[in-house]
Amino acid sequence: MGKKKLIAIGIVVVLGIALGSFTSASAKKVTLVWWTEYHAARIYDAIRETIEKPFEIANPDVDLKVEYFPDYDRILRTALVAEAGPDIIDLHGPSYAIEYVDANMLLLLDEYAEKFGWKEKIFPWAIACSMYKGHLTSLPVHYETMLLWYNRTMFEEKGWNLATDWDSFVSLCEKQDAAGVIPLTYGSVDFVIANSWMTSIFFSCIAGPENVKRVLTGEMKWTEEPFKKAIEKYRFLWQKGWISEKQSAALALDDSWGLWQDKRAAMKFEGTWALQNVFDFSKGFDWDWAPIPQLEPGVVPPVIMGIGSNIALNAKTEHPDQAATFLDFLFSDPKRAGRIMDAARGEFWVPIKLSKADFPPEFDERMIRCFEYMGEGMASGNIGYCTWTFWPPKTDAFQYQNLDSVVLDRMSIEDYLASSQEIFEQELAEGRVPTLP
Amino acid sequence: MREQKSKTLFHIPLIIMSVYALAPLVLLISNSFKTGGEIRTQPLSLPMQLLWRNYVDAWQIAGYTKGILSSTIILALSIAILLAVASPMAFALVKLRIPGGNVILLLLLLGMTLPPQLCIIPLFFMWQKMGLVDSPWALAPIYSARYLPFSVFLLRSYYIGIPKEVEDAGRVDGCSEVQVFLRIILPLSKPVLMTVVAVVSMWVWNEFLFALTFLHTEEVRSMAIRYYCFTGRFSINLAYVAASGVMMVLPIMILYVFLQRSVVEGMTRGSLKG
Amino acid sequence: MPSGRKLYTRYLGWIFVIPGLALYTVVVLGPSVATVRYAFFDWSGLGKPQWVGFKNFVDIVLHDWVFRIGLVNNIKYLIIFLTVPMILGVTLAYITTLVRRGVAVYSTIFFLPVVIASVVTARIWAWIYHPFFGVTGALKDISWLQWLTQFSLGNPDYALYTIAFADLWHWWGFMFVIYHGALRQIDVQLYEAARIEGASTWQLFFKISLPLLRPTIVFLYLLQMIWCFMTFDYVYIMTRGGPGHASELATTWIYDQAFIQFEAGYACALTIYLTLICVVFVVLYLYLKRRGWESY
Repeated sequence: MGKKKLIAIGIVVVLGIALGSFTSASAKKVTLVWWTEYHAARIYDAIRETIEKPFEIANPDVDLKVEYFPDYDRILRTALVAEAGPDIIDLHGPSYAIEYVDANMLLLLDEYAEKFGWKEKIFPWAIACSMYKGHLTSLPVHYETMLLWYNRTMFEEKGWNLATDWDSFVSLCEKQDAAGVIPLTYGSVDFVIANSWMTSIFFSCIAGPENVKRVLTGEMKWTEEPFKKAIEKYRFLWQKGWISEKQSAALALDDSWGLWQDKRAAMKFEGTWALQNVFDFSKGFDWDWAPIPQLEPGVVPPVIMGIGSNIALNAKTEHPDQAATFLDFLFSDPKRAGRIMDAARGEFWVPIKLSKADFPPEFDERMIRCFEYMGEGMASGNIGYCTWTFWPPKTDAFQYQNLDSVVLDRMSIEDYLASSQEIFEQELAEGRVPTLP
Repeated sequence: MREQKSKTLFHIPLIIMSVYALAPLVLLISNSFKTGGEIRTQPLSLPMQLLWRNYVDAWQIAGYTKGILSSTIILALSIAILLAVASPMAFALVKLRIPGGNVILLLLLLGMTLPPQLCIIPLFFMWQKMGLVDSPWALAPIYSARYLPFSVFLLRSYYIGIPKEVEDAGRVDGCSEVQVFLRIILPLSKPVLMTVVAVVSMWVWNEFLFALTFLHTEEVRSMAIRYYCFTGRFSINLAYVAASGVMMVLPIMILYVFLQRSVVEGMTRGSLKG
Repeated sequence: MPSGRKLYTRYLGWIFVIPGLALYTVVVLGPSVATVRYAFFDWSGLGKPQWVGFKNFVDIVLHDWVFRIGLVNNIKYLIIFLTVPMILGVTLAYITTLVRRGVAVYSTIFFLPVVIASVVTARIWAWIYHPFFGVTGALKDISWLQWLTQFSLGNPDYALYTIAFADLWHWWGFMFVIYHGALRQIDVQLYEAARIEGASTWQLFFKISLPLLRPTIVFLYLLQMIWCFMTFDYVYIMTRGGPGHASELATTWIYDQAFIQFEAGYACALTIYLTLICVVFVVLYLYLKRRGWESY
């Protein structure tokens, strides 16, 4: 009797200790800090409801803190240099990761990719351009394409039709100009990187995706005819005054939307992220989007693909495993992706396989069409290339910084392309050109 | 008779220039009461109604409470440090005739005449490595150092004017140099110290380049940078731009109205560096 | 003992100076020397600096067309600022001395723009110049005001002048106040004597006021020259140096290279060139001072 009692007590004690240590372990919460660029309040809420809360429910031992910053780049840099900074880092695109990788500030994700099977879950082309020197440095978290946005109500009222080729596009602009409306609204004074939207469109749609591929692998030179033509055509449109009446370098991005709202402009070349603004700035009329028309005979307009945001891990993070689990969380559930795509409106288009059924019922019909358009593009293989995703960083920077000089006739197209070639050759030699799909 | 007429004529260019000086400010105030759309379509007209809401909204969205706190910390600390180091320095240079005084003056002159870019680049990266970026407490000493030459020169020209007999009287009474400084010179310097405070306050409040470089996160932004970022992000909302501008400018305007003489004299005399 | 006290004073003097000097060294002198050093390195500010010798300096001279534009723009700015605010300041200061009433009011008003933060001023003027939503935009339908539309921040030929005009608005009041103060110090009897001899108001101005103002004018000229090469705020806020670098200044380009392009070493080399120019002016000033141009 005594022995049995002793054993019982012993078991209880052992269980007690085990239970105690178990509860105290789960009482220790891991805090993951995720830094992301400033977004609209709508996105704060979207992230909180569709990502933050569900993740914390699924992983009770983790406390996720999401922090937002305008002027994000400088703050991130400062923190990383001071060896502080968050566990999970948002970046504007794969090429931003390169510099940080070189300075050993990011954790390489190859092992986790193996473990979680990211290469199968995420679109292959998106993974490809997130590799650097053979390693996976970040995960693409938002993909986008370039479109032509237009004021549908205005088109209907004035009896305008969408252009189908270069000539009809030019005559459409003429008609709009004659009606006292700015054909293409655009402003870049506060965000010169916006010029890369234009270089993306014009290089891919006029020089054509095949040639772009060749120039990015070094088979062709930037100074050759197709690229010249691309910039010439942009310059032509600009110098006609059809792009913000030649004031684009003095207008802010928001100003261009102001013109849109005031019905002083008819169309806009912008990416899917325009969804952020187009709903808010279209009070009183209806908007729609169309694929970019065929701007060059012989070049079938591609679906231009780009990665707008990618996500990486700080090399100095103390909780790499939990952080990697969080990364996986973003890519594992198509319905969740659908929800955040709806809530964030034009941001957070997670590059995983989705079907229409994954979207919530309120998802705007135009956005569904857009999603299908991108899907078709990827399936057909006729894709174009956004410069901020597929160009090496310095070449991209040179091109968007000096585009204004070209249209203002302060720099010749030959010089522009010759300098691009010089800078590109050096980056190619350094292995900084992203991998093309 | 003729003199009277010509005197009145002279008022004309003065009035024209006054309009030129005031017009943009009047436009700013007028815009702050309109809606964005009103400003876009009728920039030169008077507001249809007084939208005080613009002020409230702009204040909240721009986070001016935090901005004022930040700017005040920076201001108070930089002035405190500045006065603490500049007055003894001027005293030593003028009254104590220390050796090497001219070298110091030359170094200070260089600081005033050479571009701020000369020191800002390594300074920033050094602060960044030490984790001192984004700290108003760390920005204040930078301002103190940058406005040190101006303050020293201004104080110096004032101290030169203090007759030697005054301090000698103290020395005769057995005061040490430190006591001469604290008990005699400092109390006499109240007016010029006021001037330094007035002018430097204005400069620190309005300062842009260093604040832009050293204060990044929203929490710590000074008023000037807060205004800059806010009006950059909301550039389309011209009413906010105007209302926040008025609020940004108001403290300095008040300072100017009350301390006008100090500010003007200080800026002009300090630049003429005795 | 006198020498004992003198020794004590000497050392004590240094104690008074050391805190200020220490602060100044850490913030201004030390980094200035560091800038000279980093100019010889290729450094992004992020990783480790790499020695490149004179490469940065040579690259600037041979390849940096933007810096050249910047310096030319600084010179244009200089020419504008050495003429317009000076003439305005002197003339109006003189006129103000002729007027009996309202001097204080005028002085207050003219100096007012000087105390407004440059951020706010830049934004007000950027709005005034806005081609669509501002005053210029509204006026462009009036035919005889069409020429105003040339002054847009998007017009590469006029952008710099457009900015300079805004900066002028901000700054000329400062000139006014200095000249006004200097004019008031001129002995009234000089004017009286000349008036008795039949001099007109403007003759008084040219023959008496201006010559007596010479030291002030010379001093302000030199000050202005240096400030013109340091100017940053307005251009940065209104156009960031655009469009297409048309309004770029040496200072905005340096800032861009150092903190946006992360070419810190290169930016340091640019700064050295800029500093050399400022040093020339300082030396000029000291030379003229020794020659007695400041006194008459």
